[in-house]
Amino acid sequence: MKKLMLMTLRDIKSNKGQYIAIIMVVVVGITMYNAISMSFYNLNSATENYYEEYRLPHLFVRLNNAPESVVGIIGRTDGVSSAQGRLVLDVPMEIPGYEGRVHARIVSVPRSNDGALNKLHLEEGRYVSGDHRDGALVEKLFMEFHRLDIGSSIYPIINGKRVELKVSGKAISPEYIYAVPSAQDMMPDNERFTILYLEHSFVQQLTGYDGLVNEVVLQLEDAGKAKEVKKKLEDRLKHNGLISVTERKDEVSYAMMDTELNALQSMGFAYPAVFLLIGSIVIYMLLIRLVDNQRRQIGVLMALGFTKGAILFHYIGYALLVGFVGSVLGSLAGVRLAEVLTRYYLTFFNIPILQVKTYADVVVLGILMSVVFCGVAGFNAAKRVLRILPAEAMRPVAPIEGKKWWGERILPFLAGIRISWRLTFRNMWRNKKRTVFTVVSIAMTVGLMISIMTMLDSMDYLFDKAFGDALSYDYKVAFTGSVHRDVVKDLGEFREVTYAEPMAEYPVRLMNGWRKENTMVTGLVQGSRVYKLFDMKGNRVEVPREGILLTEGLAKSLGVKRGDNITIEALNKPGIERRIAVKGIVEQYLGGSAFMEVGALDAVLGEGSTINAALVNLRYNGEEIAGDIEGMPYVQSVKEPDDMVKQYNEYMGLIYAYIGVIVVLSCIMGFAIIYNTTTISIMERRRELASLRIMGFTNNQVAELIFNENTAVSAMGLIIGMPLGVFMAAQILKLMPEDMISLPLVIFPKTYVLAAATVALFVILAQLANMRRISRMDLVEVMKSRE
Amino acid sequence: MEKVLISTRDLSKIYHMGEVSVEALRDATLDIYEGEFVVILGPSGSGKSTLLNIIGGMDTPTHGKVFFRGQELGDLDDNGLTRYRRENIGFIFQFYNLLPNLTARENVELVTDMSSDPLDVMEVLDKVGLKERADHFPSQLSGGEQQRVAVARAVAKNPEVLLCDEPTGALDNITGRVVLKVLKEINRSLGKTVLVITHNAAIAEMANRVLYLSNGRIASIRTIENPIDPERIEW
Repeated sequence: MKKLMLMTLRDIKSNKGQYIAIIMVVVVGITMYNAISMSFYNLNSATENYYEEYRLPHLFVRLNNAPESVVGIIGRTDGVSSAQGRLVLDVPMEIPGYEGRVHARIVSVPRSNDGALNKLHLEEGRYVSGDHRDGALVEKLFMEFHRLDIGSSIYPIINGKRVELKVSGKAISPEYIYAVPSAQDMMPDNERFTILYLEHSFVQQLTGYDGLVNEVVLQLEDAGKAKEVKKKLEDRLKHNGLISVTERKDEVSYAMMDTELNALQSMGFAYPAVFLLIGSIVIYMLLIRLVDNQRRQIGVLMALGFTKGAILFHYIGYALLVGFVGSVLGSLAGVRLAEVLTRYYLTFFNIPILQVKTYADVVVLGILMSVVFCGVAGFNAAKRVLRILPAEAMRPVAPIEGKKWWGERILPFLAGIRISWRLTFRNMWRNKKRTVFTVVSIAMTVGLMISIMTMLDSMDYLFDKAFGDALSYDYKVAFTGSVHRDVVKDLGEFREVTYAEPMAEYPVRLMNGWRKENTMVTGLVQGSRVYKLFDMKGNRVEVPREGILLTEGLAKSLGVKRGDNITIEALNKPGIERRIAVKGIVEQYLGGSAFMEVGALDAVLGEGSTINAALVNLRYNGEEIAGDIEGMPYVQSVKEPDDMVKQYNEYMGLIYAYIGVIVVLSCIMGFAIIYNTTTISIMERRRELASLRIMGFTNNQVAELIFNENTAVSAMGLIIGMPLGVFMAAQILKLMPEDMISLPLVIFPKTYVLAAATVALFVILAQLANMRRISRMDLVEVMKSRE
Repeated sequence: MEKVLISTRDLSKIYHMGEVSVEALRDATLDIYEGEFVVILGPSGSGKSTLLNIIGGMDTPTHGKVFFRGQELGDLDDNGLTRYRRENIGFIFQFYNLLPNLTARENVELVTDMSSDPLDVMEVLDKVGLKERADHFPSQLSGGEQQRVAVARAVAKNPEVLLCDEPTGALDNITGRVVLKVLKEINRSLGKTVLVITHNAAIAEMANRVLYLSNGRIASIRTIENPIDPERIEW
């Protein structure tokens, strides 16, 4: 047995290139599996621990200013283990040295951080108690963006008064892992939004809300009973100025993190599985060739008395070795990559207690998967050993049956093409199985590449569409709350404002039976000049007087079509639920995913003739005026549509990183496959090729035969891989966080061209790498040996 | 038979196998004339194949020179040797080495497609008696038939010399004789020089000259005044 092992190792050594290529495919798959799975576990356990240790509340009760006694009422409700009252208010803020306006959310925190709900993690500085009672804790990423230090001054404008506060610490809260002001804002904006944590009584003092709270956060004895307690609280607080009771899963930060983790988890399995599958196909092909080449040797081994089992295991051993070595290397690389990816996440999410751990179970499972995948492939290839009879094996193989392939019979012109091409097609036909496997592998690789590059195309398309046709306003003005429609007229008073139209956005839950989606409804005026909607055919659509328009993605996930009725529930006002008709399906681009006429939306969810935003166009010199508008008392923020792109791109950095990793890995794999196919077709036909050389074919002419075959096989792989890529892209888009954005499936021709060029490059590179095998072929030696 | 086609001068070939050196060929000096039919005899390991391979431009000598029509092969680079083989040499092997994926005709066409002055493919196939089987694949042909396709393939590009390495080695005597007849016919009617390697002494009687190789040396050269017809060879 030891000698057999030695043979295996020597064989591998003399065909290094090929084995390295296969091992690479396995390494790639396992690297990905480890990297993605571990960053999932890292993040998942980090967030869970964080929520647990820093006591993220289970329920959030929002009230119109209520006396602090309400905290007691809530705290004594059945099932509630602890409750904490606070004041939360959004204010504009000035930062020295920064021209724009910042939107700050002041959140009051108890005098002691220990034992508090939403306990703060201080990266630096002191908590706001004692001497620092009048200090401010500022959110970490914001401080880093603006280079604020402990002791820097910031100037929130509270009740119209500019107040100077000193930064006393850099903090993060489990409530704002994903720091966005509301579900309306898709991406964190560390430049213009932040959270200030101020001591509770200090906030009361600053705002004049003595003895009042407007939010109560609470933890439950049993997190599973959130729904019941929520109902109870809603009944109980109906007359205490209740605005809403929200479960933590519906809070923006929690929900975003959840979507992110889900996407990561499904990616963690899907991609590596594809890679391993391809890897096992390549191993299968290689071993078939090996067994066929070593027929004679197998015969000798049998004649010497080795059992078939031992010989079978000898050949499976190659595959197991590849699977094992590949997965061990892949695990090592994966652990490193997991660390990089996890750390990269930290730039997007505020999580203090991230532990980058190596998960032994992930590593073991990865190695196991790889060994099993490879072993199965190896067994399937090696089992032909069992059919070999020793006496027969030691005789030369019967000549391979030459045949015209059906193509030549059906299409007579194929029989008239150059002999070298005729040979190519017949060779492909002769090794049908191998041809099919190679085509499938290349198709999968192309599929991977296209599916991933499609993401970029879709995003480009989205931006082009959004800024080319759909969104033509200069600024979106968001008000601090609901305001009367006439406020838009005030905006029109500004001389530089050339156009202003009302708009409203409300967070809602749309329901169809058991299907639910949380989203924003955008209210627009009919005939909007700056926010246009288009149907799936690209025709302009108006918001209907009654009813709602949904984007395709949203309609799909709700399972509704035009003419169906859905239930709309206001998330900002409990108890408001209406049935509403779906009047059409529109294309998605940046912005909302459900649209109503602004008046109709108000009738359902508003307070009568109210809006909460406006879209404006400016003459010129926009920046300055935008600043002025931002200074108006009821204005929360003024944003350019470009900001969305900026934020979106920033968030997409993460996705880009994955795209990059997957593209690089698929390229490695694609090359490995083509290299192997090339090598195998040369090795398998050394004798044929040598005869050609002896007959006077030049090295290049011989190489051309191989090249033709690779070109033909790769072309077929490309043709199949392209639609496969489209299909895979559609699947990936389904994994994307739906609430945030649903990307249209768009593929630009350049993507196909790029994929084709990449494959062509690999064919050429694989050919060049193998030229030596052809030119160094020892003619005498090859002709002498009768395999 | 007067003009020298190939001449070798003091050819030696030493194979180094690890620490052992094997002298496969020693000081072989020889002239081969145009249109000659030469049989090279000798036991295995006597250097026959080495000599043939060096003459065919497939191998290079350790010492000595080979001239083809006065051109020294040692002066040719790899491309030059390929061109030399393409234009001047037709190889025939013991195991035929046909391309299994091509029909008999296509196997021949493969070669004629790249040569400058080829013979008509069907005529050549007719000459080897396989006109009827031109569209058969190698797996559908007997060993003798396959070898005749190989002969046709070697001849069709219209080379000066046919180099045959044990052309009947894998055949029984009846089919072997047919192949030898074809070779003789090509030698006679087309005037091609033919070199046949064999360890079968009976074949020697059909040649113009017989070379005996032993231990890498040319032991003797015998001229046969009246070569016999291959039909009459018995083995």
